[in-house]
Amino acid sequence: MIIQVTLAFLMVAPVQGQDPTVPKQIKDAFSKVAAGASKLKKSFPPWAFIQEYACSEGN
Amino acid sequence: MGFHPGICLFGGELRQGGSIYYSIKVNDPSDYGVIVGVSGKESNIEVSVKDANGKDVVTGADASGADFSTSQGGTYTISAKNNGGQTFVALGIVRNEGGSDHPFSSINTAAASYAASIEDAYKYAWGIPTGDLMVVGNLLGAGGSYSRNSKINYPKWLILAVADAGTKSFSLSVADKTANKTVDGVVEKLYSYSEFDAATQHASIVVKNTSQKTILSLSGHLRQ
Repeated sequence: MIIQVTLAFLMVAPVQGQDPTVPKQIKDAFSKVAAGASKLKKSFPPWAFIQEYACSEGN
Repeated sequence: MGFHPGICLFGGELRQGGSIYYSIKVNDPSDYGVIVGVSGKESNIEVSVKDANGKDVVTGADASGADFSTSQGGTYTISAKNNGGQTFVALGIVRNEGGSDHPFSSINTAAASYAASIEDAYKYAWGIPTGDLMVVGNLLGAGGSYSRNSKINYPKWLILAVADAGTKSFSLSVADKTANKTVDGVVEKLYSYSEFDAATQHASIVVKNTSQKTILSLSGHLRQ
């Protein structure tokens, strides 16, 4: 019985990081960047050089 | 990471209170704009730009981003903090003059491919990293290449790359310098990927434009 319950749990356990809304979030977010960039009438910056980047955990 | 031209987009899935930052080195005075894109309220995202001395250089800001001037060459740090609920936050950087005339609509094309690629990767049990930088976008001139180094702590991970001109316009090569192992990208219809099965302190990611025209590439990592 315990084994059956465990197996059932494993079968329905979601894979970590598979939020189905993320692909849409990505399209929405970059779409707003594209729209904002067009509105500003500026251009891609060929002379901006990235030195480093990072991300910090939230709550 | 190395210095390279044309990088212009960043994105990550940020929890509430999470932040993303990057530093740029500019060679001359100019006016720049940072644009925030989020699937939700832009007003939840707090953007700041500081010079090497920590001085705020923002000249104007609203919910969609901030403008800043580089009074002289040097290093400037751009950061975005998510004060709202967990969401994907994208940042773009543009410059007043002297930039590339590559169309901004290319961002939508590349992002749509990236989103579709993630949906496909979900089928193979790949997931997105949260509270971590996820996507970097850059413009590559004909024959140009872009490389960056990253520490990746997941036991299984892959690098995913797309471009506005499709997978025939670029090549992907990823090296795990710790394990001395290089994996060239496997080309699929929408994306190219390189897969690894051990965490690494030093992943070297190279995207090379193999076409005759400028492309916009997005690359990032997924994990299991």
